[in-house]
Amino acid sequence: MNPKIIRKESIILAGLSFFGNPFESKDPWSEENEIGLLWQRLMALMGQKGEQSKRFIAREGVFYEVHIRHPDTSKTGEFEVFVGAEINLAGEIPLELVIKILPQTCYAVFCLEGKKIDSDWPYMIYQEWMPQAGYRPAFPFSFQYYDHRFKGMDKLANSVIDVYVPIHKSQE
Amino acid sequence: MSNICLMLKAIDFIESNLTEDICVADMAESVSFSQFHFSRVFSQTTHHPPYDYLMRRRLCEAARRLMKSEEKIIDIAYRYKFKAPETFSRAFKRMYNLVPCQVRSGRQLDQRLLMDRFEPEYLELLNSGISLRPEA
Repeated sequence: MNPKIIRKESIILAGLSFFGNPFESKDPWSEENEIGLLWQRLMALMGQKGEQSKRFIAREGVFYEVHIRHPDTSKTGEFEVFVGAEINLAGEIPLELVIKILPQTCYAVFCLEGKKIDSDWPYMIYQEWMPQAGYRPAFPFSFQYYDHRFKGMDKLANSVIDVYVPIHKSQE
Repeated sequence: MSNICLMLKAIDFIESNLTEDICVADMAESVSFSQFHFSRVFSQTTHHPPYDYLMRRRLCEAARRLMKSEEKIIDIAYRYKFKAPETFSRAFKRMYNLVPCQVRSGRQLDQRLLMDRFEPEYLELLNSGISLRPEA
């Protein structure tokens, strides 16, 4: 794995959140798990807002899926999933959406293509690449960056996403 | 190794540690998966989230001890890693619709609610695509 290491300013997102075990209901691999349902709700809401959404979305067609570990995540397996888009604060944000501010930090950015998107990349990143490369997690979250290169869960073979993992050097 | 084999390995780990302070992260580590991937595969293979499986198995073994031994209820609660007798009692009631002292004093617990360890044949059946529900 050869990620790019970049520094990013804080990112302000608006979207929807779920907390729990997203695989508790229905098929864990389909769009019917809680993550899939979250995306469906977000897209439906954006569709309903129509022109209004163009006024507050900073980058059309670009979406984030943020996975956030909470203090009990190791114990129970429950965590937070946030899906949303970067916003323009000058626009009016609908009340139905929540704001999430990702802090300024260094990221290791991994480009995943095709089948790798569905692989156990968290293990490969956190348990294999990170210790070998001399880094540790800077914050208890990571995010997946979706743009025009992502073609849908049914077309993963032709899709590309980026995974951003906040990092510190181990000695810091 | 197939997902069923790997989840059986995880189940071995869980079953060997029902009275230990284990967590989902430990279960994931036992099969060299990330927690995210492990939760997904475990839920798909067993139809239970991993933490739910752990708690249900602890409550099942606790129920058997209540029925078959004279061990104090408070000791059973702590043995199966409940933080307090009240927590144990609430979880027990949610699962069996009886509180522990009722079972201890002889009330019959519906044996069908006891969830025994998942065996290979059961996981094969769950993952065979055979459904016990009528198809639409």
